[in-house]
Amino acid sequence: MGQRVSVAACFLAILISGTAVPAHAAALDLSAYKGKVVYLDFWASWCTPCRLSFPWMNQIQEIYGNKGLVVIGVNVDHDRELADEFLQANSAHFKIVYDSNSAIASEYDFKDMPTSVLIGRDGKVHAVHNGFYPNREGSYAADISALLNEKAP
Amino acid sequence: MQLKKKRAGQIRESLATFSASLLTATIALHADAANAQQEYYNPEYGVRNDNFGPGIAYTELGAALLVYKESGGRVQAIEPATDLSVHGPDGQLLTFDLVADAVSGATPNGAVPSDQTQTFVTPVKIRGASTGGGTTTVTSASGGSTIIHLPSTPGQVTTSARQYTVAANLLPMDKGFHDHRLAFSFGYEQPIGGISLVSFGGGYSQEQDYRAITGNVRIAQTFNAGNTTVSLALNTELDSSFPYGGVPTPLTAMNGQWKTPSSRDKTQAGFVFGLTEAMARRWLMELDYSYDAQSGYMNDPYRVISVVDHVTGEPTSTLYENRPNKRTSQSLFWDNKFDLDPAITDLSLRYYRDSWGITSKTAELSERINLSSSMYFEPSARWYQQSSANFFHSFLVGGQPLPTYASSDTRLENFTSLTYGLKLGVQLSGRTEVYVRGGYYQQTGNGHPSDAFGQLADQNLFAGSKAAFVFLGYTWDFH
Amino acid sequence: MQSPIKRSVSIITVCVALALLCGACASFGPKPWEKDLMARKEMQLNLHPLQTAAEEHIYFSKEASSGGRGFAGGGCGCN
Repeated sequence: MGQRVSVAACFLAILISGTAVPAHAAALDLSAYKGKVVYLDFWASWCTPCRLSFPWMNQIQEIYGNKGLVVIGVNVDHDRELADEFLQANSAHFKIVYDSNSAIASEYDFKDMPTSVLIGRDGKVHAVHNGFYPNREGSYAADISALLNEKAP
Repeated sequence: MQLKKKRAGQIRESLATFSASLLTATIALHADAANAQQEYYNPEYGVRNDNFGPGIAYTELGAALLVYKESGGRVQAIEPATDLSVHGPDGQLLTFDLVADAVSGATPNGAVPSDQTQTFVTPVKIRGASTGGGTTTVTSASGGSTIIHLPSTPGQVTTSARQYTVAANLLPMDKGFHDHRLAFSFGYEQPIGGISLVSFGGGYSQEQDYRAITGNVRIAQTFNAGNTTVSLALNTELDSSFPYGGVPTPLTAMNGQWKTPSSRDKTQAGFVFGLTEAMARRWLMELDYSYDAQSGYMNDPYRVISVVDHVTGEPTSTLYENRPNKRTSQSLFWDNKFDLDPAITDLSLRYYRDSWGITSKTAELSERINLSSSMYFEPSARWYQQSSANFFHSFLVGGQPLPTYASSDTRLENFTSLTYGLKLGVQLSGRTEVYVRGGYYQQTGNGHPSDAFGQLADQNLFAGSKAAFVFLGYTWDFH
Repeated sequence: MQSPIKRSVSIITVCVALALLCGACASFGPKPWEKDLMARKEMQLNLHPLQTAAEEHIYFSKEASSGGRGFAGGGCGCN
């Protein structure tokens, strides 16, 4: 009985820690994008699905940019050289932020690579996309559209 | 592998030619194909082409060749193989595997060496047989055996048999056996709903005197941010042994008669419970627990055991062996990979025990070191030790009651083996790799057990082998 | 000595408990952004399955024990 309670408590702890979101992401200052929808994508040179996500993120930045979408690619490589090589092969037409000491990654504490965090005009996290699947691009875009249609507070 | 006596020696040659041409054709076809994919180079990580990996659909084709040769004119084998892996964009994987092997050479028949010449008789089928008496010498394809005429006895149809002699003080071996095998297997896996992986697969293997059909299913779940994977696999197998000469009655005298029944079956069922865990940034490990249950015919139909005189130790008769018709086994396997610059270390340990009284321990270590951005070498060593089966006997003593089960097969004996290997790999481009691995395998055991008496005390009773092998492999990725 | 079935059940229970406990530690092991080295081809547990199969065939023909190896996970854990 005591075992079950402690296991349940453990699972509850994971659940809470998994969904906890910092009110202010101190490591990454998003105040400049207040009122805009931010698509925060965590990527790395060694992440193969990222090679597929970059062309799509270029697309959505171009299509939804004037509606208030800001795509930010947060690179988590330890080695800056590897990130630069990746960017040479897969050009990014969106803002890139380097997080080599994993401070931003730790704050958002995501579970997959790549992970995209959708931050609404209210500055709060509304959705998280775990991994990148080309056949889900439609639903990803739908999530973004929904957030763009909300008015800023 | 079952021992077999067969005539054609050309199978080995044609398989060698086939495999060599397959390898060269595959390499030639793609070595000069321009690598259109974006490829970049980093001194630390070497040539990389990340267009092959999770989330990206690609296909990998592999071709390989194993050449194996034991010392002392014993078993040699050549084994070409090929596999195809088709990766889908959403974690689907379809695999096909094809292996062929041709085995030949001499193999110990299980009898003890003697200080006198020994003669052994086995069944043989002669085309248009049973005319006249006398002996006919068959060419070296049968390893220096002679065909003899059996006196006809009421009720017995067989009139010819194959006879071979073994000189004094030599380990009795049946030369000129051939066997070839073709095996095919396939598998399919994909995630379903919330389950990380569901898979099923099957296989079929056919030899001249043996057939096996296998099936397996597996389910796996990954969690803990991709660090932990837990899996359960169930596997089953149906084997059929149809030895040349028929299935001998166990513990009866070795003879040249054609025997009945012509075949016997064996069934197997088992499961593997696996845990893969990323322990740290530089440490990945895998822990597997396997359980296996076999039921049916597990004898080696060609293997015999000597009955010796209780004073002199001279072999007086030769009997077909017998093993229990049930066997359950368990093993615990632990594999670790450490990325410790400049080498990547692989250390694996396995503990095994079964209901035949055999326990074994295995330890294998390899170190992969990059020589340049596209080349690596990997020395390795494997240590293995097993205890003997509880029905293992090097010989039986005349006058004593026969045990229910008895076998002198080295495979069931107490021994230690060491394997030394060196592998060299070259990344030819971002999508192709070629590698070669050379190995030396050696078994050591007690050739002079304390219970050896008479002439047996002067003989080496351990029939273990030493072998060298070379393995060539080539992989090619494409979209 | 426990019967083989009881023993295997207790081993599996321990393994599952360990796995669950690891999960309960709010992600044991490297963080997803720390899996750069795991993503390397050389860190796969069974990189050359044809070679492994050929060697297992040699050992199976000469020795009493067979198998043991399961099905590896690992890698970068992407997607």
